[in-house]
Amino acid sequence: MEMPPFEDHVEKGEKLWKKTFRNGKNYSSCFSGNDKTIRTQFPRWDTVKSRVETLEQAIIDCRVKNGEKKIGSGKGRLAWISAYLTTIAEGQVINVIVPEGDAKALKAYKDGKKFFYSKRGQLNLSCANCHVDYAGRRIRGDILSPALGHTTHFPVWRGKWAKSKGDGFGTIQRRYGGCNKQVRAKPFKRHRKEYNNQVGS
Amino acid sequence: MKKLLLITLTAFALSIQVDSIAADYTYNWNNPPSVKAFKPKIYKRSKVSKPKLSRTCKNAISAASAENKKARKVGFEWRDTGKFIKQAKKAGGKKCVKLANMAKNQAILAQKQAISQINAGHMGF
Ligand code: HEC
Repeated sequence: MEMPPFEDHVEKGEKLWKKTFRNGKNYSSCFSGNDKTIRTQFPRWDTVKSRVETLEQAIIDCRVKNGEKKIGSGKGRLAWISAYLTTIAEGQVINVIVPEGDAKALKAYKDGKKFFYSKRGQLNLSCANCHVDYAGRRIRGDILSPALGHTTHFPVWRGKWAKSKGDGFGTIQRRYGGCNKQVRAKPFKRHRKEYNNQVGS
Repeated sequence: MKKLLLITLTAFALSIQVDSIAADYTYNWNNPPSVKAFKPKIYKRSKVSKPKLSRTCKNAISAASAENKKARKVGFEWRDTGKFIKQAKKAGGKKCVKLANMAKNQAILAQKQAISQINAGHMGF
């Protein structure tokens, strides 16, 4: 018998999501629309701050706005909450829109695209080399996934992340760090423009 | 359900453990083994002196750091360059220069890589 290893933590994510803050408000108050649609609204272009806003960043911002402490950036509670929102949004479409006529938004999109196609690291490989050119082929024990749709099913539970430390959960930006490292490039900090533009592109 | 199963199994496993320990180890309460025997030995901490870095080593390190900073600035720093610099500082001597030069070479290659990728993402690249 095999039990889904992620079930408990998605449930924990639900509990955390539904818990009220000390000021009486809750996460839902920071977002618009039905909880089930929140995941589909991200990533999106934040016209006020002129940057790509990711779901994880929005969750952190919501906590800070309500006087709660920040929580991790790529795993743990943040990943569980995000995983819960992703689970209840299953089957819906995520449509990332680059607002027309917004030069900064277009630049962010182009930067993200450039990042994706830039060879980097000692191995001189770009994201596209592996996830476009060689999608579907094997690299050691793994089958390379096509980049299209990567953002839709994260956070994920991953055996490797369960083995080292933690519970196996990770956000997409945690994975980006891993993909940078494996070509021997120095990974970037999470929730900065490099990876945010990447998610948005 | 899953939790219940886990707890039950754990409890079961533990109870077996306890039984087997009790079976082959009996503690003599009337004549306990001397506590002294268990006293851990305390070793004095010996001072580890940092290697004194030679001029050539220091120069090689600062050259490598400067190049790596440039690579970082354009967003193309390699994974191990910083590690080599750290190792160079630790090693000292001839090894220091060797490692620092290796780091410097990497950093220069990373900058070249950045330039080569300037048009990445455009059609036909
Ligand atoms: C050396 C080849 C290689 C490069 C270059 C690479 N990846 Fe990966 N990536 C992999 C492998 C292998 C996996 C695990 C198998 C899979 O899911 O594709 C993976 C997984 C992923 C996943 C998780 C996919 C999923 O569905 O779980 C994402 C997202 C990802 N890569 C993004 C990137 C991004 C962004 C870059 C560029 C910064 C990149 N990768 C560069 C090899 C690579």
